[in-house]
Order: sequence, then C-alpha cells, then structure tokens
Amino acid sequence: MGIMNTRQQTKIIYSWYGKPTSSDRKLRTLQYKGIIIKSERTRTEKCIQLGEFVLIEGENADRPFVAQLLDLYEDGAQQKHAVVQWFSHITEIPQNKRKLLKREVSCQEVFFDQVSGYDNDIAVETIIESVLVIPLHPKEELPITLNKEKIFYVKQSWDGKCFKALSSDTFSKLKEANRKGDGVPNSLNSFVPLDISSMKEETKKVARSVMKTKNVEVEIESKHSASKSSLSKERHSQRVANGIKTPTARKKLQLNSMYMAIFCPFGFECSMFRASSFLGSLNSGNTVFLASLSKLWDYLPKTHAISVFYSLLNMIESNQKEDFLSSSDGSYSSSSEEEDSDVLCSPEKRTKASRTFSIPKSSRKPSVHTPAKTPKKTSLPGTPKTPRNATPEIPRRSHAAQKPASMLEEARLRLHVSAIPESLPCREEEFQDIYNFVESKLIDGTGGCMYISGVPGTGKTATVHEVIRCLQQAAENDDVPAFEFIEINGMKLTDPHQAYVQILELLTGQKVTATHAATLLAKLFCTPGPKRKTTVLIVDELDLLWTRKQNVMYNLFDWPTQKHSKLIILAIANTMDLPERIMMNRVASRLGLTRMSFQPYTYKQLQQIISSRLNSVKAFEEDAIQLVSRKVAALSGDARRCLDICRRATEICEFASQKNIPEIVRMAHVTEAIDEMFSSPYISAIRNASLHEQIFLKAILAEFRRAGVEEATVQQVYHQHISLCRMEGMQSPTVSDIMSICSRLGACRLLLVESSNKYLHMRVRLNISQDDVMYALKDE
Amino acid sequence: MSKRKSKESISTNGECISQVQKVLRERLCYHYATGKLFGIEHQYRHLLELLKRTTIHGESNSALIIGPRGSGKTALLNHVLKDLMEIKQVKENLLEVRLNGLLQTNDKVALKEITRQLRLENVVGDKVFGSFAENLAFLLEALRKGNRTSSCPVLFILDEFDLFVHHKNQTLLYNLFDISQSAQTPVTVIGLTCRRDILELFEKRVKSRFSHRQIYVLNSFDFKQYVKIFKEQLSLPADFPDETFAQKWNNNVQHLSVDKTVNDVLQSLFHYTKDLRSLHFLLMLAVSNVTVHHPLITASDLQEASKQYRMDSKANIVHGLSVLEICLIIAMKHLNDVYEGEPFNFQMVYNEFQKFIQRKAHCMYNFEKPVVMKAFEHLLQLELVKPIEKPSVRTQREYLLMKLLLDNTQIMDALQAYPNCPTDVKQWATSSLSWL
Repeated sequence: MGIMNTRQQTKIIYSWYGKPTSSDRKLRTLQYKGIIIKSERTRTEKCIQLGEFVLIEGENADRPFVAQLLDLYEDGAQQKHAVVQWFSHITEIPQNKRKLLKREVSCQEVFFDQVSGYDNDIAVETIIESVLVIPLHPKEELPITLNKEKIFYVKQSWDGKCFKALSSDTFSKLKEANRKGDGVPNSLNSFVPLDISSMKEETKKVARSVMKTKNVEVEIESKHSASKSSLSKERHSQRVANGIKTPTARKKLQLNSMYMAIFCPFGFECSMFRASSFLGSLNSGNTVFLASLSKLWDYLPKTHAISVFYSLLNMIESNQKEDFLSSSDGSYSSSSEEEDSDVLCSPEKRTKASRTFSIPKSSRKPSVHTPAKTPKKTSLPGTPKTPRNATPEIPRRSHAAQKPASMLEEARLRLHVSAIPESLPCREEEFQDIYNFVESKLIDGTGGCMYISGVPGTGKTATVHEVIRCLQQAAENDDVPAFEFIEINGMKLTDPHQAYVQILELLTGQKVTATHAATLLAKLFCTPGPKRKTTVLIVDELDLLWTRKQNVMYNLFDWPTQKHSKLIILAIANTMDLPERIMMNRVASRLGLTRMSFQPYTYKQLQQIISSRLNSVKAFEEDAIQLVSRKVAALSGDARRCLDICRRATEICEFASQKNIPEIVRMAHVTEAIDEMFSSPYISAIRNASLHEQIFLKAILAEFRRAGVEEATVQQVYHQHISLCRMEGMQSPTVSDIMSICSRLGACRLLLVESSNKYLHMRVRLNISQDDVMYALKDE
Repeated sequence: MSKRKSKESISTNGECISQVQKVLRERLCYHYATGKLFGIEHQYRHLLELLKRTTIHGESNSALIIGPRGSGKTALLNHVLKDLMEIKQVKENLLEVRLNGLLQTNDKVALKEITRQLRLENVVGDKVFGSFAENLAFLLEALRKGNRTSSCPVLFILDEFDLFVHHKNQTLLYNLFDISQSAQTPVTVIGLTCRRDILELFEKRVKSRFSHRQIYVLNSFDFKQYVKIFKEQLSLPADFPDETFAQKWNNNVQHLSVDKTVNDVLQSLFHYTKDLRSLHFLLMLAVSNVTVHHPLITASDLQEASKQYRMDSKANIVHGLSVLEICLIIAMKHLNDVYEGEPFNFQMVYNEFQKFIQRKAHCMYNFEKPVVMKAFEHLLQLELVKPIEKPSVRTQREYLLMKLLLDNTQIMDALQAYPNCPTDVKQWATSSLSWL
C-alpha cells in the first residue's frame, strides 16, 4: 500500500540497465536486458532484469497484475516497452469459471495466463516492482508465508476456458527464472554478506535503503557464481546443520531466507519490518530462528541491529520473554538518540498500514458494481463525516408484496414499463446492428463509438441493455471475449465532470475527485498496457454531458480512438442531429459516423408490443389494443405512453365491474383512459370557476374586442367587468376582489399576468384561445 | 342562591365557549381531514386505489393532483393517507417523503431532505453530509438495489410541484420518474400543483417517464352544497362535552343556513370565489366574535365578517390620509382624466393643486412646496403612487414620472366615506371645471 501510494505522488524514473543487447534496424528497436527504476522520493534504485517477475499497475491501484518480463525494448519513438507473460489472479477469472477449480484458492495463488486476448506489450512505466512467482506441483500444499504481497505461487495455467496443470516445460522455465533472477537457493548465502558489506560501506547513511549500485550488483554476481567466499560458506553450513536438527523449522527458514532475498532490493528499513512481521508467526521455530538471528547480529553494525531488534521485540514480546531480548532492550534505549527517527518509528506505523490494507483486500468483491470504499480516506477526528461504509439501502418491507390475484392485476403487472419482457419485439434490426457492432469490436479487441438517437420511449436504452445481456451470455459461453460493462446517465449526474468520477468508480472502485479521475482514466485508456478486458460503456442522455469547452465529450470519444484503450462507447441521446448541433467539429469527428436512429413506433409495432407483453393473459379486446396503438402512434409513438394508457384502462375496467365478474378491457374503457390523459383541462376549469371569475374572463374578451389588441391592463378589464355586472344587475366587486380574481386565474395559468407590483397597470393576456373561452362560457 | 346559580352557568358557559373556539378554530385553520369530501369522491377512489396498489402490490406509479388554490388537493391526499393508514399492512410498509417546492428550492437541498426523511445510512443524527454528487449517487444506488417484492415502497409527495420543474435539468424529477418506471424500489410520486400547463413544462424525457395520470380537483359543487359545507364546518361534533350547548349551537347553525342575510353573504362570497379556504376565513372571523355574553353566531356577525374580509385595501388607506394628500390624489385624478392615463410628475400635480388653491384660497391653506413634496412622498411610500422608472441620480425628484395606482371609482368611494371633507374639495373631485 505504502509503496503504491507513493508511486502516485512521486516521480519515478525508468532507465535502461546496461547497453542494448541487440537492435532491430527495420523496426528500429533496441533491446535491453534490464531496467532500473529510480524513485526520487525514497531515492532508491531497483534493477529488474529479464525473466524476473513483476507487479504491473492495473486499473485498480490496490490490485496490481502479476507478470514475467520476457523482453525489454525501446521503439523508434523512444518509448520504453516491455513484453510480458501474464499471470492471472483468481479475481481476474470470471466468477462462473472459478468453480471449475473445485478448490479454494488462496490469494497468493496465481495462474499461468494463456488467454490470447490480452495485449502482452506494455509500457515500462506501469511496472511497480519485482516479486517472486514460484511454481508448485498440483498436489503440493501452498507453503505458509507472511509476505503475501510479494510471493505468489503458480500451480495451474488458465487459458480462458479451463484450468490445466503446468506443462513440464513451463514449470522448469519458471523454476529456471527464479533461479536466475533472485536465486532462491543461493539467496540464503548471498543475502547476509551482501547486506553487511554494503552497510559497511555506508554506515553513515543509516536511514537510507540499501543502494543497489552497479558495483554491488557486480558483487552479487561474483558471490552467486562462486559462493565460495568463506563467509557465505560458513553461513550455509550452519543453516544446513540447523535444518537437519529440526526439519519442520527448516522449511520455514528457507522461506524466510528466500523472502529476505526479495526484500533486500527494496531497502533496509522495509526489510527490517518484514523480518519482524515474519518473526511474529514463527513461534514454533522460534529458538532456531533466534539462534540464526544472533548470528546476524554479529554481522550487522550495532545501530541497525538495534532497530531490527526493536521491531522484533514488538512482535515477540507478548509471546516470549527471553533474556537475550530483554538485554537488548537496554542497549536499544541507550542508542536510540543516534537513530534516524524515520527508522525508529517506521516499523510500527507500517504494521498498522499493512494491516488495514490487507483486510479490505481480502474481502473485496470482484464485482465492479459494489461501490467499495477505499480505506485510504480516513475521516478527520472530531468532524462528523458521512459514514464511510454506509450501505445504500431502503428498508425491507415487513409484509410480502401481494401476488396479483385477478387476471386484470396480472395484466397490469405485465404492462408496467418496469416489467422486463422476455423479448424486445419490433427492434430486431436495431438489436442486430448494435450487437454486431459491439461483437466485432470485442473480437478485434479494438475500441469504437456508436451514436444512438431517437425520441423518448422508443426503446433505445432497453435495446442496448438487451444487447449487453446477450453479449454477457455469449461471453459466459466463451463465444466472445469477456468484457466489462459500465453505464452512466447524464441525467443522474450532478455535473458533467462527475462522469469521470462515476466511470472510474465503476471500473476500479476508487473514489476520487473529478479532475483526478480524469487523469487516471486518461492514463488507463491511453497508456498501452496493463492487461485489461474490453470495456463497454453506455452513456445515456449524452446531451447532458455538454459543457462549454466540451472536454467531457471530447475525452469520452477520444479514448476509444486510442490504440490501447479497448473501449466501446454506446452513446444515447434524443436528437438525431446532436453531433452537428451542439458538438464542436473535433468532438463530432471523433464520435464518428456509426449512427443509428430509432424511429417512433408505428401502430402495428405498438400493438405487437402490447400483445407480446400480455402474452397469454386475455385481458384486452383486440380492438381496444388497436385503438390505443393507433392513438399513441398518431401522437408520439412513445411506448411508455401506450403501456400507461393500457394500465389505466385496466383500472377503469376494474372500477366499472365491481361485482367480481371477470371482465376484459373494452373500447369504452380505453377511450375513457385516453380522454383522461389527453383531454385539455382548461374547458372544465373555466366551467367550474366562480361566477365573478367567469365574468372577468368575459370582460377580458370584451376589452380585447374593444381595443383590438390581445392584451389589456387590469384597470381596463375592471371597467368592463363593472359594466358587465351592471348589465346583469349584480353587485360589482371591489378592486381588491378583482386583483385576487386575476391572480387566481393567473395561478392556474388560464391567464398570463405580469408581476403583481404594478397593481392596476398590470397587463393580462389569455393563455388559451378566445374561442375556447367563449365555448366554455356559452354552454351555461 | 339564584346569584350563585347564574354565576355557575356563566362559568360553565365560559368553558363551553372556549371549547367551541378551540374545536372550530382548529378545524378552520389546520384543514384537518375531517368531515366529508365534496364533489371529489371519484378522485378520492382513484387516488386510494393507486396508493393501495403501491403499498400492497409494490407497483410504482406517478400522478399529479391538479386544481386551483384552496380546492382541497392537500385535503384529498391527507384524507386518502389517513384512510390508508388504518390498514395495518399499509401502515407498516409505507415510507413517506414530503417535499415542498417552496422549501426545497434546488435539487441539492431536496436530495438531502429525501435522504434525511428516508433515514438512509449516511444520515448522521439529523444531518446529511457529503457532496451533492455523493448524495445523489448514494440515493440512486439505494433505490436501485431494491426490488418490487421485497423493498419497502416509498411515497414521494411533492407539494408546489411546479417549482420543482425549474430545477436545473429537472434532475430530481427525471430520477424519481425514472425509478417509478423501472424495476427498482417501488416508488409513487404524487405532485400537487395548481398550474394546468404543468405537462408543458416538463422536459421531453421527463414527460415521457411521467405516467400522465392527472387527478383534477375542481370546485365543482353548486351553491346548495356550498351552504351544506358551511353548515358542516360550523356544526359542533357529536362528542362535544356539553351536549345541551352543542344542541343549541347546532340548531342555531341550522337556523342560520336558511337565513336570508346569511344566504346573501354566502352567495356573494360564492360568486366571488369557490375557494373553501376563503369560506374558512370568513367563518373564522365570525367565530372569533363569540363570547360568553354573545354565545351564538348571528347573521350580523357573518355580515360584519364579510364586510371586513372583502374590504378594498387600497381605498381603505385613502380613508386615513390628510386633506392635503387627498387634494394631491384628486389633482392626479384630474391629470389622469386630461392626459388619458399618461404618467405625470410631481411638478404637474403641484401645478394642478396650485390652480385649485388660487380659485378657492379661502378654504385651504396654501402650503409651501416642500410641504406638498413631503405629502407626495408619503403617498409614494404608501404605494398609492408608483414611479414608472427607477429613481436615478440625474433626474430631479420633481420630474420623476409617476402613475396613480387608484381607480377613479375607488377615489370617489373613498371621498364619500372620508370624514370632515371640505365641500370644496369634494366638488373639485367631481369636476375639475366646477369654478366655471
């Protein structure tokens, strides 16, 4: 965790190790045998050579990928590339395939990846650090180790369809790679002397990590090859002797040594912590270990040894109190002032950090939809914050929902817009087009955009979802490569820039600010790299993502055009000419010309939709369905409207037949429902208005006729009103009455009125046609 | 003995009266869902069925209740909810969220309020923290997780619904309607509004997602029913402690409802507006007159209340003006007559006033110009006169163009009622040429 975090913040320089080993004139590439990763902040340098195993940055910073370096080269554009052999973690394997294993898989186990879909050419910048991958025979138990983040085991290979045991060829190659890289058997011998020799050289730089400079490298190699130095030989023989005595402890010790060999490149302070944490679990073989430790003690300069033991002490204290340790306690306190404070406090801090980190990692679900909260955001003490791990949930109901009892209720349930039909009728062509588009992109492993338009309620989103569902089904059956599906909706964002945040959260579970999310996503989609599945992104209500600079749209449509993005975007909006109307040329150009428009449904299609939804439920007369379809098709072709009318018609039908006689929806019910939804409410509003309100409307008409202008002030209308009242022999209202009548009519929008502070001089207009008013007033 | 008896009766009477006041005032002020609904039985049934289906079957819906102010939209909804809550299955299964367009003026506030009322897990105490985006994502996630059969249905009641339409992008409405049209937590969105053109205000995607159920509440009752409502609102309930007094009171109310004057008062109010709230207001004024010595409402009480209620507010202000101010108003009236409603300025008014003074110097004291200006500014403050443009630094006060906010009829009526008005002024008011 600590390492990865700092990666994001500090600059890291990648440089080649050594001279190019070979070059290709034609491709203008230069090949190298190793790479040096130099971190500016911690000022450490690490060298990783071909054949070594590395962690590769993935889209989720908490879940790096494991790979083996096969080739390192620089292309013509001076970009550093690496060719890798991937290893898959269990979380990368689709849920439904995991059961093929028929066993529990520890988080340390990885699978030799033989899936063809992944790009194995990555940018060198995505390499995090080296790790160890140890091949095991299928029957072998996983050895128990502590350093779960740095050691992986491989037993089987995974080719996207099934798991196989490692072929003997691969097995030996992997074994070989381990020997070559860190040299498991040799490390024990080389580790201690190396550390000590380097320490002796730089005793002043206590807090600094071990620098693996070139001459050190040479030193290692000499020792590796010879392993005849008297020191290492002595160590070796001692270990062997120990191992013979207690065979159970020996295995662990070997692991330990191997493990120390790995952490040695990462620096001294780190290694001390690792050693201490390792020791914590080593209760059974404690004495043996301590014995070997005491040897270590002899070789290390006092100050370092003290800090080592300080951290060890923390771990062991509770279990075992040995004289040896208590005596070192005193020496520790005496020399503590000399220590760099960083070293002193780091072990404890780090244990905490690693603990908090490991818990969510093991419990993290692979599903991208669960909004996992990253543990790195800690709330400030004192200020109440939103509970971090609040689960968004609506309380459950205490009584179960009732099942539909009658046929009409059943029909109503099926006709609800939310009911997912078995199939989507009338959109077969569009479905096929979208399906083919996405499928081809998936198979090619490329990216692309498609723009889908159509008026509301024509099944755009439903069709796209259906396509995704079918593709997911196909992916499960291994017909198409597996892909990741995410969806954003412009209307469900508070701000266009929130799109980045949502996409990143859906992809990786990280929660960051919009600007940060944008950079992370750009990095994710634009750098060649880390093995990723193709992402299918649905952007619903695209027009809402419009900003003045259009950078959100620009980025969204730019990513798929990047070589390595593997991003397929399906953009949905209402208007057909959206790209021409609101997008700048550079955005519209990137959107491309793959467009599709959904035509409003015709009445036949609507009829088919209703019938297919009703399926076998005979709740509607055939003519009734046709009436609804024709009516809606003539108005808008909105399927939602159509279904709503049908639903309302079933209710009306139910009202009408109270006597439990099963009835089906007839023309009359449908007509009533249509009238209810489409009738103009103004006429009835005028008819139900009070007498003076009606006279006021008449006065307005009279004033309009008098002035010849369709606008009048209240004062003018007032005079007309009074004369009308006189004609009918009624008491004339006061100006206050008239004002309130006017504002009441204005509130229901029968009238359009100005702001009321002009009082008598406020201008009034009718919001409906004069004919409608006359018609409404005449009948009475 | 008899003295004590009368005292006792007065004390019990006093208690009775305060009881009456309490019962009736509560009824008239809070619009409790008491009594019957008038003319909206059909709407009542529609809404009741709708909400029943939401709670019992978990069916999502959306509906608008549309009707003019005071037509009983909220009363209808409260009535339905009260009756619904009597069903045990409903009571335990319904979450209610009430929003008001006047309080939740933007989506950010509205979202926090929804989250608070739903008591989701990101509510700390009574507060909701986090950004707008976080809250929206959280709420949508919460609602998406639910499904028809197992989640508790949520009833959203949006009062002053038309104000939500003006929120940016109509995000809240889109999301609420979208949830009501998709297989998520069952929700029912009920909007209350008085605007009839509400559907035209929806954005097209929002409109498509709205189910187009509109329940119209119109005051469709006639005068007979109006009188019945009057009777019902004023009658004491059967569980009133003092039965004999209740009997007496109710008899009196029955008597009032057939009284000619009362009918006239009601008729005039009914013609003016069918809004039940104004009837309540009228009754409230009348009920406030009830005291121990005047235990029953009389027809004159109602008449008085009606007079008080339907007073012309601007003309009323004129009654309290000084003679000088009245003179200025009359001058303005003449200017209006001469120039046909064109705006005037102080100088013109002053000149007109001077003309009058010169003719009838004996009856009016000739005020200095600054004094007249002061009087004019008082009229300005009372908003009887209104400048047609904002006063700027450059234009002098005397030449600022003004308009009179009184009608001629109002001025003449006010003058009739004005006490101790000099005859010359009255004459001048009727005609600017009276001296000829």
